[in-house]
Amino acid sequence: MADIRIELLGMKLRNPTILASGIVGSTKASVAFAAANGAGAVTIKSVTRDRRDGFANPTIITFEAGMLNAVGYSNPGAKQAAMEFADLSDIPVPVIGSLTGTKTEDFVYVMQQLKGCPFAAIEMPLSCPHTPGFGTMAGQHSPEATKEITKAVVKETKLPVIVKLSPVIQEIADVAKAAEKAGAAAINMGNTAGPGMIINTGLKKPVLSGTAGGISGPALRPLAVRCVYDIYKAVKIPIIGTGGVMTGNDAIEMLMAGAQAVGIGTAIHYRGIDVFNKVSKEIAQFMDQEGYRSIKEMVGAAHA
Amino acid sequence: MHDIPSFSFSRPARLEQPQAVRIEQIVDEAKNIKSFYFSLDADCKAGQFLMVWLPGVGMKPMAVSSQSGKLASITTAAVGSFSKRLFELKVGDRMGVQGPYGKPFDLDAGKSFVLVGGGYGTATMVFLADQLLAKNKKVTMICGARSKEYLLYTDRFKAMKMETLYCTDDGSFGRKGFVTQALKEALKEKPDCICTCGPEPMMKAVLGMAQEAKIRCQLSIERYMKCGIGICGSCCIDPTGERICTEGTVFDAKRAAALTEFGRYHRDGSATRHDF
Repeated sequence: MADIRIELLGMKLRNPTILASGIVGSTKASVAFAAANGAGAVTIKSVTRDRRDGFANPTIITFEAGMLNAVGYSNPGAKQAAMEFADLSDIPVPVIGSLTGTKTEDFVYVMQQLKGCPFAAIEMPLSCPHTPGFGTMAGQHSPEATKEITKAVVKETKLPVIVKLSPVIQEIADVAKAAEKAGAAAINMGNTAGPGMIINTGLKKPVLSGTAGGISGPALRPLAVRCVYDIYKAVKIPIIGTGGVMTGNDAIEMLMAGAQAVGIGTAIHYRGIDVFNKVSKEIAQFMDQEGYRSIKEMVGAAHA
Repeated sequence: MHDIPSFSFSRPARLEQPQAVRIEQIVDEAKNIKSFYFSLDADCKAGQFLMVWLPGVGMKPMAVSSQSGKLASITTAAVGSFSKRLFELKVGDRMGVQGPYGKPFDLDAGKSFVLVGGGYGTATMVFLADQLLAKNKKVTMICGARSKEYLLYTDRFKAMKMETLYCTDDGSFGRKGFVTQALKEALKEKPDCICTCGPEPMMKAVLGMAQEAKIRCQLSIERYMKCGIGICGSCCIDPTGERICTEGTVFDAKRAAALTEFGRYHRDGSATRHDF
């Protein structure tokens, strides 16, 4: 029987599936629910300095090949979040904290506030495609900004820092290298693409209240796989492959491109909250059939 | 030959996007409360909700209050900015509707049912009564409101083959007092199942009475929602993290009793906690 356990940034994961940030995740109970349904690790929804309500509804809709979302970082703010996640002892898997901000000082402030939370790692998206002041809308995806923000947060914590990049960056390897140089322990490749737009023709209006939103799901997968493939060649730090992973085969595709673990989000809508169990089972089935004994053997296999 | 295992999943044919519908009929139900009827290309079950979209204003989950053939309705009070804008719409105007979502009531939980509706929760209960009566179940309806002018569906109830008990806080119609008093009497008949929807303190009291009487109980629980499709996490409830939009809205007594936040607090759009 294939061994699907992995070690990532000092975390021991029972399988390589990780609940991606932004899907449930505002409360301890919500990430525990993903853990109870098989996730190898879970990531909380990103926390900002102050409380945010995010965009008005509609915020998340689906289309023929995936999902479109503009939630806008709704969260109770750093102080409340620090209380919510103060005790994670009853969650059986590693919990990854996620933080974001509009300025470097805000990233640092949130990191300071979350210091007391027993997270296994810290992730920060520099890549949200649809929230004014954040991510690609604020230029946080440039190599220079990535370096500055990463450096500042790494200085503030002993935890490994994961930088989440945007798949729409053309020179993705340069940004990954900048993050690595600034002290990032891993790359999450990555965020949603776009932003894209869906218009209701009967009501003659973009459906999302934010008008445009990030594209995820099957439509995103080839783009995310190619980005993982490019980054694998450019950096030595581990990669978490996120984008359109629906099945075990999709996960293995990510591993072969160079990821050591996979993020899962949109697939929860298509296959249920127990998608983590399903994908893990399918990975093991593939490995048994193809004669792989460990996940490691498949990482980067497409480069050989 | 395919020797690589292929993993597939059945993708839902329906896209989770609002569809433009035309308002066919508007009914004044009570003071500041209206039902909006529209044609819907989906079968709704009691306990489910629809997302109603007004472009430029917002989108809100609303309980289905009826469906007959393709004609479905929602019932709402003009309390917030969204419903006030909804109330400005006229027959023939368009709005967006998406869904239905949520786990519905189990109609096969017995032969005799007592339904307890409080306030706008009565919208869910009247639709449930429709569906139970269509299955030849015995139904007793208990509905409560502040006073006579807030009681919903009194004409609709009259036309239904069931006993209806009204309770008002001020005694202006039916009996004076809470629905729990009427429920106490109804429980003497030993119904198979109690179903309830309404203010959470009321549901909590109903749950307690059901457990004490050892009668099966189903509760439709409400929480702040954004997406309605199980992704955003706004409606995750403590301590299980279950999503009201997906694992709910209907919980049986055992599952509801395990919810430490039930009857105590809820969260808003930023996930900030508020006590009831």
